[in-house]
Amino acid sequence: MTRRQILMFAFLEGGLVMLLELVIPHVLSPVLGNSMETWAKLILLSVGGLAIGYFLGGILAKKQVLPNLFNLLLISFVSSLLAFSIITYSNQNQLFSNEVISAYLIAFTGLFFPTVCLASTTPLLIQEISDQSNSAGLVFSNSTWGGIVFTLLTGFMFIPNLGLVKSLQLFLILLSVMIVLVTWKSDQKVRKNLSYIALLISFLVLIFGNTTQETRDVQLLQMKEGLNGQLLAVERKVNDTISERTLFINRMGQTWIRVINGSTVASVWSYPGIIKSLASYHGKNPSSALVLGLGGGIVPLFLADKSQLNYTIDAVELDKDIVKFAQDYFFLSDAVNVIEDDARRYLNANEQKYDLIVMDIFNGEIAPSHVLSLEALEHVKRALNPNGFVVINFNGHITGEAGISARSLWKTLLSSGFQVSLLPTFEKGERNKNNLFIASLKPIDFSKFTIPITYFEENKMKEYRPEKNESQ
Amino acid sequence: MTKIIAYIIVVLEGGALLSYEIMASKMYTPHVGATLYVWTSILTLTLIALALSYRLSQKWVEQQKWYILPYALIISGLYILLMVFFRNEILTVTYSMELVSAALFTGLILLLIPIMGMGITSPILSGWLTENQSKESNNSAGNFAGIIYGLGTLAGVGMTLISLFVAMPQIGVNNTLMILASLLIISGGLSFNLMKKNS
Repeated sequence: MTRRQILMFAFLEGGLVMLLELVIPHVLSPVLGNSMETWAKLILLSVGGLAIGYFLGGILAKKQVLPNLFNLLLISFVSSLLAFSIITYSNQNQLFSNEVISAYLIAFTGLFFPTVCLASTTPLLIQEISDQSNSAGLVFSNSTWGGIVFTLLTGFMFIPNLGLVKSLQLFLILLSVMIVLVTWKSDQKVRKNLSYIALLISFLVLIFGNTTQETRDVQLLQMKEGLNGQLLAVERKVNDTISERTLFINRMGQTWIRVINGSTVASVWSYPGIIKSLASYHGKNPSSALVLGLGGGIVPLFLADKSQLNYTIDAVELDKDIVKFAQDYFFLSDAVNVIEDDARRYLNANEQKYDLIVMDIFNGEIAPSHVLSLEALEHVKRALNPNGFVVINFNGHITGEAGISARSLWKTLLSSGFQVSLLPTFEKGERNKNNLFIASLKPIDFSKFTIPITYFEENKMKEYRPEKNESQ
Repeated sequence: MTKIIAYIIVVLEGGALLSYEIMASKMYTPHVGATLYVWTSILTLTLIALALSYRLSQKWVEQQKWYILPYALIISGLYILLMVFFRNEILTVTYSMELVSAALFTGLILLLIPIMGMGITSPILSGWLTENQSKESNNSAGNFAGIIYGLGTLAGVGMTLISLFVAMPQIGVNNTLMILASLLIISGGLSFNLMKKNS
């Protein structure tokens, strides 16, 4: 191999490792979650693969370089192809009874083994170039620049615009091109044929590797992979006049609405209606509301009801695709001023005052901690008018181990100087309900709500009216 | 013995590098959130710093300027200490930036200098070992590179697990960062000793 070819290989090798390191954790986030711990585990799996690969490459560098290079790239290709097959199969069918097993199988076949093989090529390339100079730094430098270019492309272009599946297809094509290049001048027919087969397979995967499946009852409105993972909007016809629409982010339901006659919207979950009732504390006086976390936009939609309330509404949402989903499928009102930013960043820089702040932020299944820390709540306090209050939508667990995070939030709110009331929604069981934390700087007179909190029990509409502030 | 000291330096530096990279996400979140952009910024800036350090160290290896290594490690350690105390004040400037720029700027401040300093360790030490030890130990350039980079990365995995799941929950982010800074200063001292002995 020429010096230029070696350096180009190092560039591509570094780039492809980084592509996998960004794409695979996002593929797995619907199952494994999106927390820092999950990211750290998967990055460690990748870095562990690099370490093993470097050792392995160091050993193989004592033997023939080109045949080993071909073998390593081919193993990497086969392993990634297996991962791709599991991913596309798992989108429609269940491979194992426990989907976490599938996730880790994808992590090993799609991230760990390809990383080991790709990293092993680096010492081989160093060995190949070392006749010319002491060039470990040069080869690693090219590999690293490949990593930089592909990290930027993957993070800012491939994933947000092409999605995860297409990014993986791109990986397979580039890897098969590398295999073909290794055997280009080889007189070994078997290797040459195998390299062409790999290239052919990667193109077949590109053409036939994307399928979606609809059931008879549920119609897919749109599926998109982007900044926060997989967005999915589906519709189910209940009867001729009523249909239900659901927004999923990483397979977790975020918004579930009932559409009557194509225009009237009701929430299947009770919490948006309860927040609307709480918002009526300010009656029809001109008021301002900040909604952190948009989802399908049902909370701002309810707050924008001018027949009962009089709010100007700012909504902060990080992902522009979610905003588009809310507008296209969940009737997000034009009256809502949508700001594309991270909620904590918005709070850090914000100088406006609000009468109501609704925090409805979930990253998949997790309420992001950096928005609910003492420091973040200081910014929330600063953004409240003296008579304003905050409503935090949180998961329904409050007892036992599952309720630790809710109890921690309660304590954090108290430590921040808020007066806090807890209003669980009316669904049955902690697993199904939400907890609404109502936090204010002054005691709230619950009798001032003009829209009663209503709920269904035993097929009857009932009304709930808290009698006094339960602040602690 | 010389080789063992070189390997210890790589283990200390490799452990500190990856742990610092992973822990950087905790320093990002109060200022730029916790999104794909944060991890893209961390990975990009880490790799830019490594690429620059590999390119520079390539020149230094050719010129046999081994003495740069201890200074680079000590500067990295001191820079991390600086970040422990002043990052929150410095990063307030990101509030007026657009999110992607803010994420990249944060990476520039937190990662570029210390990771460049740490990144020169593996190429300089593998060059130094090839130059000084290959005849004695019968190892090739590829062989030394494999051992050095493998050892450093493996130490990174181990140290990151300890930092993330033991140190950080027990003693917090800042104290863990101070431990990492200490490891770098110790490895700087060791490499100063190593280069002095063999000069």
